[in-house]
Order: sequence, then C-alpha cells, then structure tokens
Amino acid sequence: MVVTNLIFVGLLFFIGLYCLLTSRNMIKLLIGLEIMAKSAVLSFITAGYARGETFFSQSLVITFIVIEVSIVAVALALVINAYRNTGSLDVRSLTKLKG
Amino acid sequence: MDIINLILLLMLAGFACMAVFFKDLLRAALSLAFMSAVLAVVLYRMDSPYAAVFELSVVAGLITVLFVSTIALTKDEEPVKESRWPLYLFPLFLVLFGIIDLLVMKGLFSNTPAGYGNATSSFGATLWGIRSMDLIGQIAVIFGGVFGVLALFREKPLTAQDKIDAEKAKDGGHKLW
Repeated sequence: MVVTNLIFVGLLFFIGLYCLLTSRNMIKLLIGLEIMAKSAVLSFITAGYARGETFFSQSLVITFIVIEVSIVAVALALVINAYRNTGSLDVRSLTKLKG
Repeated sequence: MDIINLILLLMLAGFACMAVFFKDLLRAALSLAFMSAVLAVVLYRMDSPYAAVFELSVVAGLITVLFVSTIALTKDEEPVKESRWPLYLFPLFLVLFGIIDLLVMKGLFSNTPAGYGNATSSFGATLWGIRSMDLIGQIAVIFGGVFGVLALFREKPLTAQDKIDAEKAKDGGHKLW
C-alpha cells in the first residue's frame, strides 16, 4: 500500500507539473499547482502511516492545507486583477505589463 | 495489494487528468473538487480522519467555491487558445515517467523502517501540545492571506471632485457611468 501510494504521489506531481508547464490559462495554472499540493498531502499521510506516526503527519497536513488555502485565495485575487488590467486570462498577456 | 486503495488512486489520477485537460474551466474546477473528495476517502482509509475532514471541507469545499467565483468573475470573451500538442504527447510522457517512478519508489521505499509510533495517545494532544507552535504560524498565514486579498482589491479613495460628481449623479444629473 505504501509503495503504491508513493508511486501515485509521483504521478500526481507529474500531472500537476505538466499542467504548469504546458497551460496558458492562469486558472489552469493554479489547478496544476493544486494537483501538486494534493500529491504532497498524500505523501505526508503515507509517510505517517508507514511509520505509525499518523497524529504528527495529520497535524502537518492541517498546517499545509491552511497555507494552501491562503495561497490560492491570494493567487485568485491576483488573477482577477490581471484580468481587469489585460482583459484576458492568458498568462502571456502579463508580459505586456509595465511599471 | 489493497484493490480498493488502488481503484481510489486510479480515480485520483483520472480526475487530475480531467482537471488538466477539460477545456471548460468550470468542469476542470469540479474535477478538482471530486479529486479532493476521493483523496479524503484515501486519507480516511489510512487512519487519518482529521486530515480527511479538513481535505473534504476546506479543499473540496472552500477552494472550489473560490475557483467557481473567480471563473464567474472572469468571463473570457475570447477563450485562451491552448496548444493541442500537450494533449497528444501526455500519454507518452505519463508512461515514461510512470516507469521511472515505479523503479525509483520501489528501490527507495520498499523497506521503510518502522517509526516510533504516535508520541501521544490522541490527535488533540499532538496538535495542541507537541505542535502548538504551528498554530501561531497558521494564524499568521490566515491573516497574511486575508490582508493580501484586501490589499489586492483596494480601491482608490474618492477625490473632492469625484464626490461632487457622485452627488450630482444622485440628484438626477448626468450619469458617471
């Protein structure tokens, strides 16, 4: 179970990274980041489960989830502001910003 | 091998692929929410019910609401044009990475040493006792996020002329917008 989970941790991380590298939509980029965050959560819990330290790993995951929510909220606010300035969700439109 | 766990993990990877490759952003966000729900079940099955509850309520619930609100606020007249080649090359890269991943993970973690077990008798004692300092960091992060969003949506204060124009508009004068 532990090795299977860790293999899927790697696969999920790859899927998220692939999204980050190939997508141009800013919301899609955040979705890729979220998928990578989920692989991190799965790896923390798997590590805790393998070593019998589930309480410790859960407390780390809860801290991580709080950080994740804050990052997503601020990033989505940035996306909305960028959309208001450029009229597009294309990440390449941000290269035209000045100032 | 635990078959149910394998099925859940395959569903997790499937929903992740759907979230990445759906053109419709709303469907992608909903796939992400389903992925969180499946992950919550995986966590619950691994003796981590508190993390599962957080994953289900905060990530599947709150973050999905944030994504859907942002998608509603940014109705794109011209959808972002994505290249087609990432979709066609994805299976090849996934299989290649999967083989490397399988070899590396099996080589490194097939003999994981046993840990020392849970240091306390309950999760509450761990979170509020041993890891209580984390809560200060969590509070700081939450406030950082709140003030970050507030700073990003800050509006320019009205000048005296703007106020006069607004009064005129209220009295039936010319409209400002």
